[in-house]
Amino acid sequence: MSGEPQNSVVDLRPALAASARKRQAGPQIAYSIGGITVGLFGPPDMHLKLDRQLVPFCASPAALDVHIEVDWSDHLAKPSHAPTFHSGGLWSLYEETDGHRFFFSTPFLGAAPYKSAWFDRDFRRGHVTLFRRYFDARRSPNVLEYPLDELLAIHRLSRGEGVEVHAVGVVDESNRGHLLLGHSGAGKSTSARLWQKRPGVRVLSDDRIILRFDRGHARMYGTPWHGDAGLALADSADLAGMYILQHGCRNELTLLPAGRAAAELFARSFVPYHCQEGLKFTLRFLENLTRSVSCSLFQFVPDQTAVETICHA
Amino acid sequence: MSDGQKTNNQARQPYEAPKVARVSLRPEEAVLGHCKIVGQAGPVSGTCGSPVACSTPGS
Repeated sequence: MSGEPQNSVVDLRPALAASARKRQAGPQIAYSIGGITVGLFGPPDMHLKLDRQLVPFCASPAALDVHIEVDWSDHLAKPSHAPTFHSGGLWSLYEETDGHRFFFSTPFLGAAPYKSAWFDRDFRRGHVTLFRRYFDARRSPNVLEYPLDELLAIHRLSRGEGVEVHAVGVVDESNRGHLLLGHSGAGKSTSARLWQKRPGVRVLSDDRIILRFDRGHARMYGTPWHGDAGLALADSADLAGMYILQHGCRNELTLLPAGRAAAELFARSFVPYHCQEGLKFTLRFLENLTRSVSCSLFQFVPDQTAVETICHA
Repeated sequence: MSDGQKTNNQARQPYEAPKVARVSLRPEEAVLGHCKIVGQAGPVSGTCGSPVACSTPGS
């Protein structure tokens, strides 16, 4: 929607650029998820601190893949025109000539957005603007509070990097990575707890896993975005097998043809549905993934025999 | 190698008619539109109370 009027939006980028030149010693924090390092730079009057979930993912700000400036604003308003995409919940997306702008709002606070986030087309640079009146100045703002943290991840991944999936990732005692995918209620956290009982097993996350190719090998990465079991590790492993979770009366594995597997994976992926380029990449990625790693439907019973079934597959 | 030889040397796969498989999407989960706490409308709703203190568990 480039070129459309945006008269109700305060364009803070020139002011931000000027303040960035002045801030020099401003606070900086950085974290790395799925091999992508994100750095945040705030003004002197903003005490930036990593959210406790992100602390294990803390990284050096020296080599950043995504550079984000953060600032306060005393006025924030959505454009008057329709968004490119409305999530039906907390966020809306507006296309701009030089990138994308997300607005975050909730009925709890009224119509005005409490935060906006602009990113360039490649999701390498961004500006997050916090509406000052909604934030407690005495506390460190959680700038990338859900869902912005995941939105940033899925958009950047869709630019040729990988895909985030709704899954639990476990690494067995032989360092083999198993990916168990499922919608809410499919048994991800239950499975994660069962796997945890097995000695030498690491659970990378019981809800969100990032998949990428590393030197031709499919690899899965833990994320801080955990499920009911609260399991999250800043770790990764080569992917040995993928399983679509389904509650059953017994444990049974059914190998899926690659096309069907790719469709099942796509249904359990977090992708920018509004972005044709991102969707194309994700579909290609999943096609390649299902050609290189087997994917089975896994009907399971929620006890330790389910873990044994996969270990002996 | 002629086409006839090729045919003889290759084991013919039985024909399998294409099938349409329905895969269910969960758009409400897929678009990251809502807070992951069931029944909450957002990170600042209900018990959360502040946009600076959300660390919700996943679904």
